[in-house]
Amino acid sequence: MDFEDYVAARGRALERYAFVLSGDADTAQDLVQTALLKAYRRWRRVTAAEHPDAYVRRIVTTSYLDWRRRRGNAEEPVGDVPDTPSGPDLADGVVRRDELHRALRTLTPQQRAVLVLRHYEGYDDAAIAAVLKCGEGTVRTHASRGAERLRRALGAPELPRRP
Amino acid sequence: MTDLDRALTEVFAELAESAPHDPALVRRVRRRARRRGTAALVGIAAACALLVAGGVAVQRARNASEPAAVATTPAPPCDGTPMSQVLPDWARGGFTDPEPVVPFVRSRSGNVVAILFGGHLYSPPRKDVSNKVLWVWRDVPGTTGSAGGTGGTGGTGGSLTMIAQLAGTHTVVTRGLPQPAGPSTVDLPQPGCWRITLHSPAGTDTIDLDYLRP
Repeated sequence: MDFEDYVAARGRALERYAFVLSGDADTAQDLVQTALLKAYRRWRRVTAAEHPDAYVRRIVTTSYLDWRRRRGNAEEPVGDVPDTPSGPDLADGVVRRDELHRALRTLTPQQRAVLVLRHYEGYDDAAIAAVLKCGEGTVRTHASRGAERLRRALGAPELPRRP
Repeated sequence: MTDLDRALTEVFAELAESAPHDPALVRRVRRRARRRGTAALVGIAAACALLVAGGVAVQRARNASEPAAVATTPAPPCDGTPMSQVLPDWARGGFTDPEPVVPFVRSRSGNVVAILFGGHLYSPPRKDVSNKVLWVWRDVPGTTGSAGGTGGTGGTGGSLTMIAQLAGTHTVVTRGLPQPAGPSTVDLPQPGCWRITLHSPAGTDTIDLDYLRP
């Protein structure tokens, strides 16, 4: 498979994955371009890999984590987090989408990456650990803490938007 | 699977459907690859030129009447794709983050950066994102009146102007730039890659800026 064939076949999926991961249109496009640029420059090695698509996605993921780390993991506060969950009753399935979108911004990059890989890509813990180059226990910790943070954020009052 | 799990699956699927699409993705990546390749070749060529220059100087001393050869380098293809990277240290004035990662484009000499507030530039401009550009000039030792950085150390007496040409066309636009150097809204009449010649009291430089169609 040559590079153009690959982008034609998988480019749109990469754009989607990068956008779900970053939540920002410009960042997503930069992530995809950066990942494809790296892949293009070592294309022979990429195509020799057992799963070229996984290889490129891993570049997207690590680039996202690296950029966020260099930005200081800045998180957008959504309000004072209460000690106990007091928001919408998740058991009743009444989580409003916009609230969840906002709550996602409170996650650390690692927590978001784990939840995206688990719930969007459908990876199991072992596969996520391989992408993030960490242990499965760490994956479960990020997932658990991320879910807990989402639950708490969903119950928190909204802060004014940043200027 | 909990309700939160289900909600996450649905929200991620929704997000994926609204992901931006770049129909020119392959072309853009190839251009960036060529640009980096060109930069590497220019670096190698510069190193070779330095080595050769010594030999040329000796030869000229031997035969002063021999005319010097003039080397020309073809201009690289226009590529104004912004990169989200850590700014050069001389361009970080005004940022609280010690290593700010922002979308910016670097000039050909590397002594000017255009920081794009909106991430990308659009023509016609989008209603929700302005084409605001923060121009940061690196001070050039030995020059006077060169435009300064965001703090505005220069701009003493000279003017800052830009002449923009849409790649592959004869469309040219001339604009003044803020003085001292700082943010300005740069709206250009057509989408495409614009090669911009920057004139400052410190000299002339070029920078490419991509304008996307909204």
